[in-house]
Amino acid sequence: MLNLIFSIDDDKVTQMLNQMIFNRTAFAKKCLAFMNGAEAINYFQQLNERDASLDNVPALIFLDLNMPVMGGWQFLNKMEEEVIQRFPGIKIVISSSCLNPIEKKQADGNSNVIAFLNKPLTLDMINTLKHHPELKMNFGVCDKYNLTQRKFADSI
Amino acid sequence: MPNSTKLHVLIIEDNEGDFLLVTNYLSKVFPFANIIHCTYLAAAIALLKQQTVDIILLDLSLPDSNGEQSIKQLKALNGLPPVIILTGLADKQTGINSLRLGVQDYLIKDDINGAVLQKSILYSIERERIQVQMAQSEKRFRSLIENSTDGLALLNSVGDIIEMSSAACKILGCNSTEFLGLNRPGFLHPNDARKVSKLFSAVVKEPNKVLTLNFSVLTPGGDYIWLETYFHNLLDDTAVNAVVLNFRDITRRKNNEAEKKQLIDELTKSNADLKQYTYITSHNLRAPLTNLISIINLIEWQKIKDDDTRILLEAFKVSTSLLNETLNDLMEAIVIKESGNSKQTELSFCDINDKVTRSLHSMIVQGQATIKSNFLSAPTVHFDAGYLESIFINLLSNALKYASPERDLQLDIKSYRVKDGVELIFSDNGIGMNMAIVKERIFGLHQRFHTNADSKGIGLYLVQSQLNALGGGIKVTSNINVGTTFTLNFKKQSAYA
Repeated sequence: MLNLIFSIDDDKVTQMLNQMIFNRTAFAKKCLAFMNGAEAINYFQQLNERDASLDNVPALIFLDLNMPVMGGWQFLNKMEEEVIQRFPGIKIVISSSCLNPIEKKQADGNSNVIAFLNKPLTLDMINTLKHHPELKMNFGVCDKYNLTQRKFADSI
Repeated sequence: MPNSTKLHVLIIEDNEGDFLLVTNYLSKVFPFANIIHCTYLAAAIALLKQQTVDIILLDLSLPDSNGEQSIKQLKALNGLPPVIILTGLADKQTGINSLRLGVQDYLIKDDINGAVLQKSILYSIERERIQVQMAQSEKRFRSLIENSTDGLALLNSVGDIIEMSSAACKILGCNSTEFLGLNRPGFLHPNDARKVSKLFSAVVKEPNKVLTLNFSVLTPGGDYIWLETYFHNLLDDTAVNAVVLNFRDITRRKNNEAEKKQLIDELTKSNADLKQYTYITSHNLRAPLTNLISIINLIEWQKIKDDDTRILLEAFKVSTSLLNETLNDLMEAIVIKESGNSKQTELSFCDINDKVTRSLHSMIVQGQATIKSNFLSAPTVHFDAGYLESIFINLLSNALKYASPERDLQLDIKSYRVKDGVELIFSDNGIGMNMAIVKERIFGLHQRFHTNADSKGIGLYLVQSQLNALGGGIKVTSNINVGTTFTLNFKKQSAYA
């Protein structure tokens, strides 16, 4: 199980449902919800590197693309610019309802993004995500799929 | 010329002695000349109205006329032959002055001899011929310019209009050059003034330079008109010594262009607005819809004990998934319309047909349908794989959906090579449609002609969109209770693109 994850989505119902899915799949001990990218960036700005721990730096961020104030792409840029070097190792999963293949391609080009999931998130998707090469060490799952990262993305 | 033909000479001379003298010289150098003699100017004029001569020898002091008076009277005649003045020594100055009035030469009687006379006559005739030719050529050229609808103006090096053609006057609505000129304040439209003066100085700088520009000018009537202009620097050409400005009125064309541009701008904008609208709609619809789907996924059905609630939730689930499908179809339709980048490859009808019949296997078995396919005469087509699969799925599932309850479905799928590409035919024995009612609306969006529960009225719209996007088409014929035949055309340009 992951210690801490973020869910960034402007839709409150989606947030609630995501929490439920994370609980049921025992995916993370704690999930912090942010209504847009700026709120999450603000969180990192408040956090001192010396205080960083598994309990306040998320292992994974679920990111919606279409949000007011600061959308997903802008958030990704901000992360690269000022967050990743301070808190390395944060991985990002994009969850979007837009089925635009160009955006998926764009997401593939970002090294921090480990998966692109079409909304809605499902229990199956999250359970499969536990086998991701970047995450599987956090879960007591046997690597029965032995998937490469690329194949993994396709299998979802 | 007189060498070969007979020379006709009219001598207007009242002094008999002078006449004889001249005639004597003439007969020596032009032995075959026809000499006509008049002593009065009036008689000569009357004669010239009747017959033509090659040359006139005119004495300046006649009983009924004198000097310049005589020349002017003769010059008033049409088609006057060249005139040589015969004058006494005392009248030499009059002879010189007469040249200005258009006579070809003057001879002082005391100096005349055969050679002088011959030379003067031949020169005069030849000069007159050349002058007439030049005058005609000039006249022809003038008339070309004057009658042209293009305006022509000559400008000096600072942009004053020195001269302009009548067409130019007509275009500019002004006869005087006084108020016109590139450097006249207010003549050029404020938006163009700088552009024009820049262009003009570039033209003036370089001999023979031609530059062209469209700009608008103010006419004395107070209207701006658009001109298409050509500036040609002929300042160094001694014959012209000006910048030649050729122009035409393109106001109407400009107005049409402006109108068209405005229309296109408006259309582009409303189109962009519509696209944005569709995008927002589909996105805003999708967000809550994904939540609904998520909720259905998360409901733990075994925990629901109340039967009514369970039935309601089941209905909720069915409606949600239907809504999801519709939205997906709509999105697909939008994507087809927008995508110019579908990937076309050589596809085997047989492969696609196998794939699709396999995926619809349970429906086919359930409906006890027989599907016969023959793709031998045109086994492949150059098309987008996704589109072709979707077309097969739509037409196959349509046939299954609208099978007759009275007989098992028979579906024939065939491909043919035709002149302009490949034709694919889906022919069934289903319930059919009344074509008189359905017509071409069948391919419209959200057109439903049956009350089937799972009819959304989008399948055939998609099929048509997919074919149209790649330059093909679809036609339908149908008879109620007999069956329906769809004929799909795949254009050759896509086949060999």
